[in-house]
Parts: sequence; C-alpha cells; structure tokens
Amino acid sequence: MKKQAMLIRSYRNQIINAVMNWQKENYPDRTNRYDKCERDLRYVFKAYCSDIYTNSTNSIENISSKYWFNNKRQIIEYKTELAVHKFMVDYIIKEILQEEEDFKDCTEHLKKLYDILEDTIVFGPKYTSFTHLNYYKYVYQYDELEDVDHNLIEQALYDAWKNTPSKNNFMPYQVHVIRPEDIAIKELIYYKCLENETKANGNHITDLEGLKKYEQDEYGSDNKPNYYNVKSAHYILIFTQRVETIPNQHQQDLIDRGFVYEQMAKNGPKKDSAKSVAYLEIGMFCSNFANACLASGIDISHTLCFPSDKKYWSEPEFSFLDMNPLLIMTAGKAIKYRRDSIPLYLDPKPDFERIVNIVDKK
Amino acid sequence: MIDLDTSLEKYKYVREYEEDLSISPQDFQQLLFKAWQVTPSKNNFMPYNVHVIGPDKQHLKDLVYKKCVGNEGTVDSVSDVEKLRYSKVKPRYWNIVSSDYVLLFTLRIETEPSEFQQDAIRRGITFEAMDQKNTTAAAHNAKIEIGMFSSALSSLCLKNNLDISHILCFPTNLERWNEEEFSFIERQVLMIMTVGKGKHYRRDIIPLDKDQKPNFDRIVKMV
Repeated sequence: MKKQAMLIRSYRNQIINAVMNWQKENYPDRTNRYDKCERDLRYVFKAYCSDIYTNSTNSIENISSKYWFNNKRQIIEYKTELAVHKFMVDYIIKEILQEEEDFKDCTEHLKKLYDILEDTIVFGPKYTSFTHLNYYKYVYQYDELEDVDHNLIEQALYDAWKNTPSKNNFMPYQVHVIRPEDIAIKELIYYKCLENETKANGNHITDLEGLKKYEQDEYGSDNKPNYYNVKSAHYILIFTQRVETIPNQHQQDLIDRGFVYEQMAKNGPKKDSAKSVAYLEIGMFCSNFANACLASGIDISHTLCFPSDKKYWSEPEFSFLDMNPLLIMTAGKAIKYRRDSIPLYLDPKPDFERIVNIVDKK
Repeated sequence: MIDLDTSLEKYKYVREYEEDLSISPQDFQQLLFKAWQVTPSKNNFMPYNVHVIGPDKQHLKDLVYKKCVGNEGTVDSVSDVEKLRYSKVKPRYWNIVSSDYVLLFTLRIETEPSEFQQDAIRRGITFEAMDQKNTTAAAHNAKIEIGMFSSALSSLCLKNNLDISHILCFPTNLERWNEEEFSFIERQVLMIMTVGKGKHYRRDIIPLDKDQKPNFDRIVKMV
C-alpha cells in the first residue's frame, strides 16, 4: 500500500484545509486556537500515511495514546474531536481514494486505523503504557543559546543511579559528566568523532587542522556533521568500564565462600566478561537517565561512533579516563532533530515481529 | 520541580515468582510492543532479537535454568553446584523456573536493510549491524540497546504491578544452546530476563545495609 500512502500524502494540504473548514463551519465555538487543532490533525494524518505505507498500526497506536497522560484523558469534550477525525477519514476515502476497487485494502486499513484512534481516545490505552521515552527524538543540533538547569541534570543522574539495577550490585561502569562550560572538551570530543568518521570512510585524518578542513570541504558552512550534537550539547556523558576494588559486605562474604566476581577482575577474560555486563547495564542506566531528562523537557541522544581505545584520548583534558570509553550520550535543549530531515516512513525500525519472537506461538 | 517517573523504584530482584499467571500472553505482548516502540537504536537497526518463552513452555524454562546452574559451576569451578550450594535453599535462578515469561535476548545481524539504509550503503557507508563475519562491534551495540529495551520494558511491567529480574550468568556461546528446543536461537545469547508476580525477593534474605550499590559519587563523576 506504499503507492496509496504516497497518493494520500500528496493531497495533505487539501485534506487538512477541508477538515479545518468543515470544523469551523460545524463547530464554530469549539476553539479559538485553530493552529493547535491543525497541528494535531497533521500528527494524526502523518500517522495514517505512515501506517498505510508500512501496513501496520504502530503510528496510530502511538499518536492516539498521547490523548492520555497518567491514566487521564487530556481532552474533556472528545466527541467533537472524534467527529473531526471521522470527517477526515471519510473525506480521504470519498475524495482521494474515491472508493475504487484497487484501493479497497487501503480503505479498509484506514477504517481500521480510525477505529483504533477512536477506541483509544474514548477508553485509553489498555495498559499503562505511557513512558516519557515517547518523547525521544535523535538530536542533530542543540540550542546553545538556551540554558539547561544543572539541578535537573543532577536529579536525572541521581534517579538513574538509584533505579538502575546491577548484577550483584557492582555497577561496573562510570559516568563522566562534561558540563556546559567545558566548551573546549566538547569540541575535542566532536573532532574525535569526526576523525573516527574519516577512518571509517578510509581517509583517516588525525590532525586538528586537517579535520577542520575536512569538515569545511565535506559539510560547508550550512550543513552540520552527524556529530554536531556533541559539539552543541549542554552536557556530555562518557561511559567507561569500572573495576570494583571495594566490595560491599555481602560481596565480601561470598568472596570468602569461594564466589568469583568478574566485576573485580583487573585483566584477562573475566575483565572482558565484566565489560559485557557493563555494556548491558550502561544501556539500562542511560535509558533511565533519558526517561528522567525527557520528563523535564530535556532532549538526549546517543553516540556510538568514536575512537573506542583510550590511547586515542591522550590529551590532558581526558586524564579522568582510566578505561576505554564505551558510550557517549548528550543532553540539552534541541533545536534540530534527525526526524526533521529524514521522515519516519523512509527510515522505520525493523517491524516488531522481526525483533520479538513469541516462542509459544510456534 | 523535575517530573520523575518513579515506577522503577518498585524494582526488587525476584528469587521466586508466584505460580498464578499474572498477565495473559496477548496483554504481555502489548507491553513488549511498547518497549519495542520507544527504544531507540543506532541507525534504526535494532541488532537483537527478544525470544519470549511463554507460560505454556515450562520444559524450556527448566532447560534454561539447568544451563544457568551448570554455568555457575563452570565459572566457580564447583562440580555439583546444586548439591553443594542449594541443597537447603532454593537455587538462584529459581526465578527462571517459576516465572510467567522468560525473555532470551540474542544478537541479530540485519539482512534486510530499510530504504534509507540501502541508500547509505550505495553511498559507501558500511554498517557493523550488517557485518555477518565480524560481529564484535554489533554485539557491543546490541548489548547497550538490549539494556535500553529491557529498561523500557521493566518500567512498563512495574507500572502494571509485574515484577522483573535480569540474569547474566549463563552460557553465551551458541554451541551451548544446541538442543532442538532452542532451534530458534541463531546467534549468541546476550541476556535473560524474567517476568511475573514476585513471591520471594533477594532483599528478603539479604538486607540492604549489607548489600548496597556503590555510592552515587563513585559511579557519576562531574568532570
């Protein structure tokens, strides 16, 4: 149904205008914020197009769940909302798809999507499925003119530390936090990412001047490299492995009884095993940190393309790094997102069924 | 004031789950779907699979349990772990046997890139998430992203009064998962997670004052 999705999308402005005019005519007293109505309508329209394109229901489930927050519907008078959305779907079927036989599948799918929207607006998502991670969007550039309250970041870090579980309570990793004022360090990290890009592309440039020239030649003054979020971020978090040297009382009791902990290994395969655990737990920590940041309107992004060997971080500015960096995360107020330039329908994640295998179905 | 989502505060490591089914497979699938939906992924590859062993597959859970106990013996060089360590108390990993759902996270190498990824490949960009031979880098990314997925799922489960626990002591190599029952596993196992309604918790027998995590300042360093 990709063709039909593109066809509907090409009539976007006509459809939205028709719906807005219908609403003004039939419900003139509903609102004086038509700009907000139009914005929300466009979100739902986009979800329809995306789900028809991918023959799924993911986008409409997601967008309709946003009508609810913490088990409470966010609009009181929802019948008008439903009438407006019903009009939009009917208009698409009648005016764009024109009830043609070739478009029968698309028409049926669109009706199904509307049913999901209606059901969710009226009754809410079946489970408490709200998470602030819904707000996540990969950041291309942060707004350096905006301030981020340091207390919010500290609180989010504390929340992540407190609520992230750890195998045998070791937490075999460290989080090094670079502050907004450390502009020079952020720039150094940015150029390390850029250096890594040149290496991956088979044109390894190592000196700063060479990298600045590469940046200018490759991206010019208007475009920004993927890693510009690192340079413009308010905060940068560098995650490294951590070897425990001070076990807690329970850990010590078990060590005395013959238990072996890889999180305390200083070298060898056991240290590698601990690194494997660190990767998983860093993922958990950063997800919890992300959730807390997004709840406060702070955007985050992850960076996994950087020199992973500590020997490439030899500048005195990075003397705090005693192990290889495993993940870089940025936080701040975004000004430009990846999704602004790469639409979801072109760049979807693999379908749910390709990732999650319900073994008891077989 | 920061708006903190506190559902994760309910987390406690489960030693044993209640026997009654806590959530139907259809409903649990909705939570899995949400976790899939909100978990970000490098270049949108999602280099992992989540194999969900449901309530009616007890024999599979028993097999997973045996692998974990066997692995403990190998790691600690103890010949009969069950007899030596668990003759009087229920073994660690009993959460696997008693859980409603066991999730096996495995590495996944992409073979069907999206249109956007294909465009990038045509422009000469290589993706470790598609490298069939050297899977080390993909596995590193997969572990971080599995951590994110499981954290999102944990939050959803705890919000809906379900308990969860993670297991990281098990044989990772594919050769150790060669039984017919595990034919769905194509690449190395990276993490195990269990879900259900907790009956006994680790904290019931190991008090917090003896088993604290490292202090905040030892983990988070303000540079």
